[in-house]
Amino acid sequence: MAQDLAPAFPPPPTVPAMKRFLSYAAPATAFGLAAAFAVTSGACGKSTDESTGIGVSSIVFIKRQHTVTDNGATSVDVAGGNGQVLDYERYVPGGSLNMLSPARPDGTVKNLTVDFPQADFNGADVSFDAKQVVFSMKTSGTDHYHLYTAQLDTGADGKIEVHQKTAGDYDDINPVYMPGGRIVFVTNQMYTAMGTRADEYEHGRVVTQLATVSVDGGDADRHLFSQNLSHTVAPFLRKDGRIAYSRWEHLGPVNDVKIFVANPDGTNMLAIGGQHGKPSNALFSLRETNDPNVMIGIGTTRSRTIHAGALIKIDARNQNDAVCMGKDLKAMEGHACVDEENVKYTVLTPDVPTGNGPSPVGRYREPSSLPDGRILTSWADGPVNDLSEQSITPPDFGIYVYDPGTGKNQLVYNDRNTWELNALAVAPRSEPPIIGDIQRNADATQPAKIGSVDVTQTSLKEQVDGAQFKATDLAVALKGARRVRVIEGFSSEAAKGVTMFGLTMHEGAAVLGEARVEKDGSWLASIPPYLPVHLQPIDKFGLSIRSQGLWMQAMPGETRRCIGCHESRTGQGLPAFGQNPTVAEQRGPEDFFSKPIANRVAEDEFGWDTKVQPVLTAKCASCHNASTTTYYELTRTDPATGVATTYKIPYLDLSETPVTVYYDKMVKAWPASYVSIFYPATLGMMMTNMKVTGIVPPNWGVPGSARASELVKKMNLRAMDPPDGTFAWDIAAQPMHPEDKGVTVTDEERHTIFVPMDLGGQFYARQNTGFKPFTNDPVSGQKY
Amino acid sequence: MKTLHALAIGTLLSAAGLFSAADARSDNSAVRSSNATNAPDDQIEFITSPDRIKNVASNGAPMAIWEALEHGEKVECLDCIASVEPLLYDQNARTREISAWWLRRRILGVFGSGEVYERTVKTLAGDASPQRRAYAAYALGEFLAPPGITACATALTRDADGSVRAAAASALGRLNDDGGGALATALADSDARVKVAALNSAGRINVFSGAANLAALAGDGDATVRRRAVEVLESLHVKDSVASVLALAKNDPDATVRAAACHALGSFADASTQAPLTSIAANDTSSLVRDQAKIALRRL
Repeated sequence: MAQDLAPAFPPPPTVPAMKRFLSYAAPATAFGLAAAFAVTSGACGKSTDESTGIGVSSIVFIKRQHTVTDNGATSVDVAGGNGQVLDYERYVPGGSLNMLSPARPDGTVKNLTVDFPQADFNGADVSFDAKQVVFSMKTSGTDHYHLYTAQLDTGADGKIEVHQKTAGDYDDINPVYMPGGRIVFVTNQMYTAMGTRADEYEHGRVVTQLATVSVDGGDADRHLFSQNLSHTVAPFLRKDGRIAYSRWEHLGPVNDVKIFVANPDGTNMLAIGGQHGKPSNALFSLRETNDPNVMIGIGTTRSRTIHAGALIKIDARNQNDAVCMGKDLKAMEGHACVDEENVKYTVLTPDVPTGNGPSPVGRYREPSSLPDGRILTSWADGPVNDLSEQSITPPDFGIYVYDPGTGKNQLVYNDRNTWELNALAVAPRSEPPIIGDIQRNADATQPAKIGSVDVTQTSLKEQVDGAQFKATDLAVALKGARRVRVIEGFSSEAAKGVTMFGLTMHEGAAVLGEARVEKDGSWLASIPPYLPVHLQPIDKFGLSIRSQGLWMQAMPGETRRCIGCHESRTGQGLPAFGQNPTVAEQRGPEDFFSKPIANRVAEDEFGWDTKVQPVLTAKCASCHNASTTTYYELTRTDPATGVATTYKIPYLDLSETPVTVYYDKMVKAWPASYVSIFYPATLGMMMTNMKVTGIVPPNWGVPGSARASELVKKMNLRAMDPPDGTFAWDIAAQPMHPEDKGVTVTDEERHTIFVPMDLGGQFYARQNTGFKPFTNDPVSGQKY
Repeated sequence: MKTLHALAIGTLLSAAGLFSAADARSDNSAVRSSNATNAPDDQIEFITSPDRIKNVASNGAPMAIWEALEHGEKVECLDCIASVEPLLYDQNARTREISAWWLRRRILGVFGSGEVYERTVKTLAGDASPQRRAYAAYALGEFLAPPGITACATALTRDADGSVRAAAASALGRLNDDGGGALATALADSDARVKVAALNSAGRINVFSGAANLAALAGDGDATVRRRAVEVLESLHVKDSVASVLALAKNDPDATVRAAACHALGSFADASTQAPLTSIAANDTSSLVRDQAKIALRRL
């Protein structure tokens, strides 16, 4: 029978969400309400009628606690570590994994983890034959979340057989069964030479990535996927056997949660949704429906909604291919059935906000499809945001079936003392095809390869401005790509003592290398595995044509070769006639891998004071210095004291003379060159209590775009690749400077000045900080 | 070139069309500004307004505080500091963390003489309340500033209260530093909380040289300490600890310690442990220990 039941709570089994809220949204004020309204499935005797009305006989689900009484003291944890969709650290003891049979309000609840009374849970899944469940459990406050399996049938001793599959000094959460006896999950295990594993915001919460184990071998078959600077969460299985998941993307101004997919061995990571507009900031907690490439999930923002939001249908099918609109997976082989550029989003529950303001009705969590197409999900009335926290009233998540046809919720189970989450049907389902592994090693000494068949193939409808381009279509501009710049990303945690890199939101960046684009548009390079990189096709002047704004990674031994620079997702995407293998393949990859990280730090980064300033000092500062520049003034009024302070900003002083300015929330001395070049652009970050007097220079340096930077324009650039005698800007109107004054700046020195602008204008790199990488591979090497 | 006279910056930006790196959007009264990368609206960073920061700092819920401060990373608001500083001593650990995170992103008003950072150091060194000293230690860890290393190392070795020493040990882990050996020394602390905190940090920092101190914890009287010690020995790949870890796998009275020890032995992959692991896999009274022994055997 359902356990710990109080007298029945009154919600009828089927009511529209809004009505339900109006009827039952008593203004709960404290945890005491939970005890008063302890409710679950019916308190009656077990029914002999096995009909559930939801099409399956049983469901499994997780109970998570929010209220704890210890030695007479009661504490209530409303959101805990689950305020953001990326959070996973919420531990409140007293949770359980349960099975409800029959799956209806008067069903019997069986606690499958009764031997772990202090446990908390973080995800679960039911096996394809519906006989086993995998779940993430933390048995105590000093434990980590790890993966366990349990048979759903009791053993001969009447007990549920629980087996632990992973262990170690890290957390493993969100397990999902994969074909071939594998489990994919999320882990915060660290494994790169970068150092500790905070996300790029440098929060204490360690960043999470994907990994797999086998059901039989557990950690003996542990396989880590490549890393990202941001969190990977909520993996789910696709009918084609691949793993899809949500990933936080944060590069420059972008800050959202999109959908990606990867093969079961971690290779071939691709974006499949959220890149080209979506109805919410975060797409989270997704599952594929009974239709391939159609998903349901939660649309919400990244924070303040306790993992909850509106139900969203995400249709990523290629609508122009009839085969892709069917269910025959075999027939879909060879068809480009995912159209990531034209994903259709349907908000199934328009009353539920996709933002993070208080909901007028409630919010959903963790939907999954039932065999008949309805949606098994968790639901809680009320605001389900920080208002719930403020009133110390946890949302009451119970289990419901949402019918997209009627827009109504049907109660399945609700216990007002706990959250009921992660509900899944216990029903056999088809096992997707097994995708063979390309590689299975975790050997960081094996490079990955990255490249394109033809960078000029693009479906992006963008235009490029600056230098030789004037509102030029990207497809046209890309025909001028000579190299592809491969940029390594790292968080400022890797640069000890530095909490910000500079005036932009760009992360730490180092140039791994610039790979040649061959005549057929192909390029290929070997790079360190695991590392997040992003790419910039660059022209014959060395200027970025477009900055590709997603982090990508590759596994040891993996070759990541896209067709073009965002080629059509539903086109043929094939090499041109006679192009197989490409010229780049025939030539072999350029080696951006062999250089040790210490050398990369020393040689390939653009610490302003260590790399850029020496060039400016040698070639520019004799003319552009404190005695030659004019100044404009920034007067800032302290809102607290009313005291006004005026800072003198050099119009153009390229010396290293310290200039004390109010800059990026600090009053600090920076080299005059850095202030001169980037201060005009950074004014955009200082919006209040300031006045500017005098002549403000143009944006000498634009973070992320050397092409838009006036200093680069002023100096002009000679084509280097090849040196064909042309210039980035019309030489008649924009003569080379300072050559016009009799000073020569080499092409290489120009490169040192403008590349940091393309990278983001950071002052710091690992180079000019106290960064120390791991001395050995943290996975297999000896770390101490 | 633009000639401007006493223009408010907002006017300046709109008139001159300057690039704004703080592309902004907010559901909480912040400003939406230009988007230099053509990213769709749903993807764009937004920034919190100063008023929002002050408001949630004074009476906001933890989630609201977290969001407001995280998206206030670039917000210029000196007078917010006075509102945020008290949150370093909030009862909610996440509130304390994000408050320090936000404060460390500004120098003026935080890192100057007599200001927040210095006050935090002094609180750790001399406040009468152990809880405030502990919270100050956590804050210094989150500030990620080098002076915190010495302050926390000193507290770790000298503070009379175990909770403070434990907080200092945790802070050193956040600072990615062993505190000049203080972390290794703390592994022999009389308080189990300190030992566990030191273990957590030892497993986190890039360079830790106290492996011998770690191995000694295999004989600790506290099961949690023994288990965490084994886990950290494994994560640091201290393969010369096989004998002591094997002894735990065979004989420790606590099943969670035995299970962790078996897992570590699998990671060490020392062939000499095959026979004892085989015995454990067949005979241990705990099914969870047997599970780990079987997994370890597959890794040998």
